[in-house]
Amino acid sequence: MHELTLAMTIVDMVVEEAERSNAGTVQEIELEVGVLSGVNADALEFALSLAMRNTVLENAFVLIVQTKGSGRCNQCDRVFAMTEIWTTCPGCNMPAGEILSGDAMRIVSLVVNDQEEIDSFALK
Amino acid sequence: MCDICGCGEPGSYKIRKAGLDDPVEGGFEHSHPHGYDQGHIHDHNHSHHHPYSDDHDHNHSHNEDIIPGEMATGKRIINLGKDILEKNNLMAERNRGFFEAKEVFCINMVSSPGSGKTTLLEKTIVKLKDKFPVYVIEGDQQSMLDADRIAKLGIPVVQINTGLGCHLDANMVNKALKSFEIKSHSLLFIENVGNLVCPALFDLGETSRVLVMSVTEGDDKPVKYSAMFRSSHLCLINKTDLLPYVDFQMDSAVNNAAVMNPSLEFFKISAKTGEGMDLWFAWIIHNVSKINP
Repeated sequence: MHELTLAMTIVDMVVEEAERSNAGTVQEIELEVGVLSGVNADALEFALSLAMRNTVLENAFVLIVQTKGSGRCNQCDRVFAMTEIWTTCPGCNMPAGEILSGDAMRIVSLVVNDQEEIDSFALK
Repeated sequence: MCDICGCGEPGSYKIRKAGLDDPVEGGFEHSHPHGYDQGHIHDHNHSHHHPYSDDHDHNHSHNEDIIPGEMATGKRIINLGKDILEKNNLMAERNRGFFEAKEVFCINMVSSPGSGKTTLLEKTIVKLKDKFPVYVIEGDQQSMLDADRIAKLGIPVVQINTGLGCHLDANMVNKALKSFEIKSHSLLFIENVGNLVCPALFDLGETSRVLVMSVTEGDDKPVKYSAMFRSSHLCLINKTDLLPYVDFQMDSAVNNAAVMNPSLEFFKISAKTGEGMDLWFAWIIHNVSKINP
């Protein structure tokens, strides 16, 4: 359920950025969602389709890149791949003491249509 | 989000004071650009997600006609690289700064629904309200029921109704904080929405996160909801008076949780009978006095 809140946050951040950089509409948005971030990519995609309505993101292409997770074991210091937050160390069967990667949620980039360009074309 | 249609209009949560009908903050009043009677046709562009980042590098562009540095006229790439939780985390830090400056010990109480948070709060407030000022922010999707219960104890309480929202965020807490005048050297409880999933992601700026679970819930809860157990500081295992009647293995529950979070502390309590509650009261008093020596 928190995916809808996050989708709305993403839309707010993009609308703000589009205004700041004088962009017209957003053609594409790339998101990074780590597998350990606690966010379900499918749910986020659905929530975005709702949150993007009637905004500069209305027709944007959404690309969600899921990043892999890794953690360090507290006991043996081994760094291991994590697919879930409860993935245990293959050596000592303990959960990761520290998550090293895969817990991020970021807006990576946008492809925007330039408002000024659109306007100048319209003038011609 | 809007609790009528989930459309994402702002101001869809309400902050209310016990005894007052009108919200002091937020509000549901907004118009909907789309009506249900018109049907709801909106096609959104296709989207997809890539399973893992190592399948391709990150500096790609997805549409054939967009090549970085060689964009079609009027198109450009903006590299943002921004954390989606950035705003919440910034606001949480502002709240945390407020608590530090005012010397307020703030507890974010999280749990699944029905773990006995509100009863626990009532018993705790009765015990502690004469020692230092106590304030409560209640979070629920609907109703003033919890705030009304707390208000009967004669302490300031604010209710946040999140509508369809499943958690409190730092911004809601920030606004709620402004609706009462918090004295220095005090204790603030934030009773989060009963949910062990979503509130784990949202830092409110609290000093300490206390997770309440009850023996009626099953000892495998820490395994199922590990994110919440990982992010909490103290775990209260409530309703121990019911232990003879349920298949709850206390050792197994504590072990499961301790494996997820080795620094987690545990108190086994019964808010109803008072069993184990002295330790919990002592923990709070110790922490309030620590920030207020």
